[in-house]
Amino acid sequence: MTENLKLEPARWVERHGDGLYRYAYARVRNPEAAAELVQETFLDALRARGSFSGRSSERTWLIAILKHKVADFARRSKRERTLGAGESLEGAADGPFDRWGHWKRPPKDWPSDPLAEYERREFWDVLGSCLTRLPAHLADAFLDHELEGVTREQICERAQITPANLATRLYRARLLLRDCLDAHWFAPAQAVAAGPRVTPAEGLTA
Amino acid sequence: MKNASNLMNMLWPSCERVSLTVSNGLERDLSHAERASVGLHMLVCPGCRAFRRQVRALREAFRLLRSRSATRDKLAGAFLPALLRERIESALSERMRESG
Repeated sequence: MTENLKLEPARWVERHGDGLYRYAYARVRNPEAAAELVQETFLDALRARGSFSGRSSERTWLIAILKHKVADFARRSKRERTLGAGESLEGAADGPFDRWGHWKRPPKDWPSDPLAEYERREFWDVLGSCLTRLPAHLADAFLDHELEGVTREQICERAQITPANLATRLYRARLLLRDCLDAHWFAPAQAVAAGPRVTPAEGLTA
Repeated sequence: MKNASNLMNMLWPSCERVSLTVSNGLERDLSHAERASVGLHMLVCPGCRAFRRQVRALREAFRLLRSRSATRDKLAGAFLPALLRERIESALSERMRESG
């Protein structure tokens, strides 16, 4: 029975490499730095494997170590500024609905077939930049769900949230991503040419 | 009164409620009541119809990303890039050899 609760370091990269990387990337937004934190996490975990109690899953335990690494990284670096709330998609506006729950600006159909857009590398750059502007906890839930094919129960266990919380996070992530793609990819020609960038207002407040 | 407002919510739900139900519908099967209430709303609401098409298109984008190895690296931050993966793998296996 306890066999299931053993750690298997030889399979960590295969099993958790992508997941830990996503977690780190959503917070430090730099591939090299994210991979560095993942590597440190694995090495620390290997050293500390005696302390693994088996009460949580291997992934949850590794994420807990990585979480500390990310916090240290944020303290050490001046990147903290880029993680501030000002840049995130949420909080910028007070939501897409009015107080009666109707769209303030109802979504309009995207002018082209999204499937055709997926062939273009620039589309993924824009989507990636929209993702990094999601609050990290929304990006975690959304990407784990869409990319890893793990069950909803597993995501809830890792994030310590209820299924209703998860549904809300996925919903909010979708609202924000839809909105961001609308503004930065499917928008009128001049906005597409400019791509996602800092709004003039943000530049002026500096 | 309460029953009347529940009935009202079901027959005439807000866009916020409908869009949440649409999002939930990507994760699980909706109940008959949910489907009926969304279906009715969709007949009269182009905004929610566009929302539904768009979240389905988003779902499809991530499905493509996951299923084709050639597209995995297109989205920064989605998957650990191969070079960095190798670096981590060799650091970890070296440490494992050292510690026996």
